[in-house]
Amino acid sequence: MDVQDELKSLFLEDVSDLLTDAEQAFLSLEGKKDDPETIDKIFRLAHNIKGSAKAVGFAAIGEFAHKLESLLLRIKKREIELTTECVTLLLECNDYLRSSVAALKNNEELAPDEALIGRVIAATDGKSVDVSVNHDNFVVVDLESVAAEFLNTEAAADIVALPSIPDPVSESKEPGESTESIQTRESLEQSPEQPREQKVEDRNNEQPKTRSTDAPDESIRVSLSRLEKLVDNIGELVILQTVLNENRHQLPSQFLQKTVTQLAKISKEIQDISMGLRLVPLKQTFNKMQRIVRDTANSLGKQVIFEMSGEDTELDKTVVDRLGDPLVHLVRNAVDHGLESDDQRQKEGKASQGRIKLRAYHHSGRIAIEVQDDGRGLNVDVLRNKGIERGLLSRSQSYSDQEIYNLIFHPGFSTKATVTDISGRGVGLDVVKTNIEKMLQGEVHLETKLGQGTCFRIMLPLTLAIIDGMVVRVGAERYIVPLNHVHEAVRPRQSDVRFHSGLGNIFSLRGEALPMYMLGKLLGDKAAPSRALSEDTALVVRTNNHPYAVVVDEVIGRQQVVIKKLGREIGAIKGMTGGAILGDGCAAIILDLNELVHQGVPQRKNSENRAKGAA
Amino acid sequence: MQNSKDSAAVHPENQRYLAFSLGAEHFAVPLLSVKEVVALPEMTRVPNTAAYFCGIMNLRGQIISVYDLRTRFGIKSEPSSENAVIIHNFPNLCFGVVVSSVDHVLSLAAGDIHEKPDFHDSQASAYITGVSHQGEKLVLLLDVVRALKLEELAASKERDVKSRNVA
Repeated sequence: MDVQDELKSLFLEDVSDLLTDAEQAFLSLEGKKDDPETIDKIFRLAHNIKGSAKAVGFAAIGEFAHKLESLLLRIKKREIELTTECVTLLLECNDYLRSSVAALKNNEELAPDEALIGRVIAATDGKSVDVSVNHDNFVVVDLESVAAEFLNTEAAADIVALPSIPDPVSESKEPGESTESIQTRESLEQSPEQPREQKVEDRNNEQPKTRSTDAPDESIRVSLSRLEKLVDNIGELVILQTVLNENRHQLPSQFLQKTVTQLAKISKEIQDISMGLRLVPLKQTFNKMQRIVRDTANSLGKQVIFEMSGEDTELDKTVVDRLGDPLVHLVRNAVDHGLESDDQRQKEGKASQGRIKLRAYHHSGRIAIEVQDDGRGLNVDVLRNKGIERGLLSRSQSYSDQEIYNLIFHPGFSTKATVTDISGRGVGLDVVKTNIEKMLQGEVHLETKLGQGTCFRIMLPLTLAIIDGMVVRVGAERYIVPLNHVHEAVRPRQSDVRFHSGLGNIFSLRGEALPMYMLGKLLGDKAAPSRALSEDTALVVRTNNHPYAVVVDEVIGRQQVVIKKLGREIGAIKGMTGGAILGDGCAAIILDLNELVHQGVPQRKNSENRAKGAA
Repeated sequence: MQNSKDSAAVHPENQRYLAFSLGAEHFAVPLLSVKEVVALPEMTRVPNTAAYFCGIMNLRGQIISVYDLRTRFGIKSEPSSENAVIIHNFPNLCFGVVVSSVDHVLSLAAGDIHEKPDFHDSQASAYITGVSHQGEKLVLLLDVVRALKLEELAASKERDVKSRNVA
């Protein structure tokens, strides 16, 4: 990567952060229109983007940010009134910048959105004011805020020297300056949080404050791959350390033995810290939801108050990234289907504004995330009838309310529904549920009270990087099965296993007939035995609606393992979710039994099993 | 080995290659793509993989796929203590290759590298980038990613994943 590319990628990272801040600011602007502090902040953000875009040669973004800035300046000067339409326009600009940045990250260039630019210009010219004057002001403000941004660093001195030149050319910064902007990334990143007073008052003291007083908790950005390397090496360190610790009695001196014990403690601590490095706060994801609520509510003509709490809760980066889509779905669902229309609410004696709460908190070693609305809630009777109609429930059996509520997670449950009360409810909720269970190893729970609202609760593991694994042996190889997939491990008696030439092995477990698969066969070993031996162990899996048993030669034990990526060329083989290093330093494959069983069984047989399961 | 390193220092424009043997045949790969050479480690076999895929190994906490070029080329060879794994590092692709023995580092000027002989089956020889005469020996310069069809493997697996995600 040459210097220019590096600058560009740093810029893109920065801008993504700035845009997130900006969006947040736009939204809060709508709440309190006259808050000069927020307007100032947005103005600064737009300015930052313009400055650094031009510095690294992204002319299109720079030009757009420039136009946006002109509009913001007029808002700032109160020459344009800040209407809801105006905020919407600003948000659209934000989106456009965001997608430009995303395109640039992939080395593509997004065509300028002429229509949007036109609207920005039109909005700017909303009241005719002498444009040239406007422009002069603009340059001065420009340099002031540049100076303010670099204030806390050595670079400030150079830039503050510039303001007397009212020449637009100075906007396009010199290459040297752009290097500075990289060095001072920390201050840039933190600028939105900086108290505003500082900006003006301190401007004349060139190095008024050192960074340490200004930013109590500094952060640096580290690439995920470097972090993973560190975590890998620490994992290895801990393994070596364990070996050392187990053999410490062979050491001749007591002093050395004691040192080894201490080393063990410190290694463990280092490992804990390294695991924590992957954790990031939920804040960005939550902030995005605010926008979703706003847009959905606007398009539906509902008034919604959005509250969130616990946005500082930290989760694994991968979890946070994957959480976005399911959460968007739930939030949108809550606004669209959860809340009644304003009229309806008034009729029922509720406040006309609906309320959506997004909460995150720790709950017994896991993270809970709740999307709660105070809308109509689910109607058990309507759902039950619907379930019977669709053949999902039987008329003769009685079901708990919870079982009936869970129908909304059934694929396509309400796609055909025309019953107004629940229409739409459930569309895509099955996808939400599957994503959370499959990709995040989490769970979705539902609580609802008719007329009072619904709450979806997502329970997530703190990290995806570590799982509790069951180490099993098949033939000469050891494999890891995620412990949460295994419902129980039993030693089948010969008399409980029946072989049917059409179906294969059938295992009777406490009166239930389960299909039984041999893991060796599933893994494609033709020499593997096709019948379970008396000393074999059967793992019973009940993660979906079709329980089954898988026979392994031996269950070796239970171990927490760090999930590692497999090479790209084998990484996607079905049935393997990754690799891990066992306690003795050997590599082992983590198996996904569901996938193995699914692909190992011919389709015809599979459907028969299903029919059996349903019967 | 020492000598060839020295000659590389004299001609910095020369390309350096790591020479190794598979059975009685001699090959070389660009040294720049070689991360390190390790003794034959303990390997875990992986089901449903190509015959020349030996398994996965633990390289200081990183899980690395290991291939055997001898099986790939159908070369017979006895196991020996000389056997080693050359760890290759390409962008997005890190893997090990089992070889009979690692021999030395070659420093080759452009003139030392000759076109590969023109075989009728150009498909099979696509992974040979050139040949070089080293005394009595003929050394084949290898494009190891092509030889192991790694890109094809990765691509076909990724297709699988995509179709699965859609479903």
